[in-house]
Amino acid sequence: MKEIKMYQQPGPTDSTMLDVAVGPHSRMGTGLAQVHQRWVIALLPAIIGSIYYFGAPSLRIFGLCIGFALVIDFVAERLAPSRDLTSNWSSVLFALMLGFMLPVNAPWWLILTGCFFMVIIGKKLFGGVGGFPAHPVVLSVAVLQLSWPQRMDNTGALKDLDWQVTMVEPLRMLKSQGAAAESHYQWLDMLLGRQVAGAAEGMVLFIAIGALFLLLLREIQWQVPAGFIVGLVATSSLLHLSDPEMFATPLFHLLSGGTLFIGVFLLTDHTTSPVNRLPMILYGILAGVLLMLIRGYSLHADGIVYAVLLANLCSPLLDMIKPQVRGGENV
Amino acid sequence: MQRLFDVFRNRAALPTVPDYDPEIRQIEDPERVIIPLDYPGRIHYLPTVKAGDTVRRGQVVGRSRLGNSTLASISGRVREIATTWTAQSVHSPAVVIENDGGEGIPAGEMFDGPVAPGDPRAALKRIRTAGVNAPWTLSGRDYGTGEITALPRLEAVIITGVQEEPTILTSQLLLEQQAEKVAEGLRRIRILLPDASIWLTVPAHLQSWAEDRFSEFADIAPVPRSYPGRIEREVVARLIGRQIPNRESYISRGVIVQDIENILAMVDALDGVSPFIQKCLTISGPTIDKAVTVRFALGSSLRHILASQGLKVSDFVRPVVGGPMKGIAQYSDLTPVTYNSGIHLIAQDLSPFDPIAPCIFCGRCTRVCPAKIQVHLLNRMVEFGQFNSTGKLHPEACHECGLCAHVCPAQRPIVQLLHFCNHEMTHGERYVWSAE
Repeated sequence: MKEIKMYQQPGPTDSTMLDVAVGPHSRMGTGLAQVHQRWVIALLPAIIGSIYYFGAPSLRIFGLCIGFALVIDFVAERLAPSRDLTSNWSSVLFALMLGFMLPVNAPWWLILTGCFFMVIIGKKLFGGVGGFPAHPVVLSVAVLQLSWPQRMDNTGALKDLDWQVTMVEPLRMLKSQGAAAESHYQWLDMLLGRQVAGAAEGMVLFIAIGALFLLLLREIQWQVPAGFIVGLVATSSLLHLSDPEMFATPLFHLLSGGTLFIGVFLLTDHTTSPVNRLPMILYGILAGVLLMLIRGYSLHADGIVYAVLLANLCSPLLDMIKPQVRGGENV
Repeated sequence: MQRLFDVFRNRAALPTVPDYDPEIRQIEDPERVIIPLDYPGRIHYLPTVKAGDTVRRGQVVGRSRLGNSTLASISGRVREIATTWTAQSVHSPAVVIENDGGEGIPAGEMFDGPVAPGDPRAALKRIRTAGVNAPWTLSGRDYGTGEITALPRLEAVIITGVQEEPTILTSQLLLEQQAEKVAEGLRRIRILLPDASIWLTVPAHLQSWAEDRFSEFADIAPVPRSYPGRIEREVVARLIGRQIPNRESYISRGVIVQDIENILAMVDALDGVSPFIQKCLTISGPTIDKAVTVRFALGSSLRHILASQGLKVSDFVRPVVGGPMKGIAQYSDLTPVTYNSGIHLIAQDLSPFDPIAPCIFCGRCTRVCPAKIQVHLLNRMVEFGQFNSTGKLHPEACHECGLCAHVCPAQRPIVQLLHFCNHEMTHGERYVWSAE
């Protein structure tokens, strides 16, 4: 190789402070913290609704959840530094979501255990935000429901409340009485959140408002909730038509418990949902069908956590359906 | 209201066509030009002058094995032949010429009159002598060894009246202002390549205007204002109806893509009017009120071009040669500019890359990718060094349009991760330039 000497630029350059950054030089500039803050904003309507209905106990749930989750996340980050910083707000978001699904009277140690499972087992052990195969919140709720079923009892939690509605979880009523349970409930009450459910998961209308916000910001894709609702309505209609005595109508399923909450906030999570468009639809449908099968044929009154967990685990498989690369060596 | 709408469409920062001054300003010759002799993967010139020689404007200073030439853009003394840093982020041998204010070679002395139409051999020779067939006109990426092989029959010629970066306006302005000359150029191409199909891309709002003038010689293809609809590879694939592998040059598949500026230069060369020694360039930026387009001598420094418009690099944090999406940030304002048609000046970095942000697998990069690459998987594989698993996902299809990094909410440098992946797969080790 022939050596050529370097050209020495005559005179100083007018460029001592230049920023030799890499392209593209135009970016939307959000950042992980802002992404999670948007989700938190989307959760706010339901949280406000919950505080309006339940008052201080609901505030206590959300406060404890955020506090425990942040402390655990911070300590974990100190002990095992990773790129999943506490400052990226993911723990706040997950803590609020966990609070949504806990009963209003959950004791502090239950919340602490839930936060521990959510942050340490669900998130940090898999490599932090972006690394987990199943949604940490759902994982944590599943652990709590299996370990302390009597503590995760929403009916018991709300028995002192004096509402003009049936104070039993709609899906539990459905399990015990069959489709006749539907006559005990008004759909307007369920829509407005006046039903027995977790701290905020039953606030159907408020959750829908938050979901609309996320959809407009393109934080979540419409394919997942749409697929979920299609799958749920189709399966429940079939079941209802096959045996109207035993299975409730699609509307009842859609409005009861945390159905809409998981459809728009848990299934659509960035990390655990598929990425390509067709797999997103299939994933939604799969979750809807699974949910209806669990509700119809299992011992659980409400199988939302198991439906979400199973669908989460299928999402890498579904993502194998991907478009043909254009312009590679395969052309 | 529009702003709110933009926020909701997540389009806030996608570059758009700026306000511009339609006049093309001629700027003075600089004191010194640097003419690079090497464009890696594309062409390599050998110098035909020595240090200390006196050259005149239009004189050949470098010639390739195929007979392509690069010309002195000013008259003066060759100061030295040395390695220089070019705007394409590579080192290259270059001829440094110091201006002595001398006259250029008159056109009559350089060319023997117009080339007879319908004589492809003479036309090709003239184009090569006049420096029109410059390295950047051999479009498409070429990873080959530079061996001369027989070219396939030319099937399609695409004249881009719209640059892919919305902030670069040279082609559009030249198309509007020199429409007759463009039509003449298209007519010449039609004579030289009677069987080829010829397309002219125009901005969508000029479609009917262009159809009146050019539909006799070429098919008019309107191109939208937005960046994703203008990406050159996608436009070419849409027009010719098939995708050209990213690693092969267009020309190896019988397609030529030229911009308006080269067509005009070709007409000048064939008529024996002037060689190709000056180029147009648009200066734009978020803090610049009106984008200005200038015509400068090839090899002028960034500082000379900006100073002629009263701008200083030190007022900005980042001078980008090219456009905001595909351009390259420069570390010095003495870099010679030959290749690109735009300078984008950034005064403040509003969203710096976050070097440690983890990928959250949201998949926006994958959904926005025009090549339909699984970017969300690839960028993680590269991050963790799993190059063996990347092959099946075809990272080589990436033409670095920058949309993935543009939309990434974690602000990861995804384009660079994919580039690194391709580099690793192609070369396997740090790639070093070597002279012949």
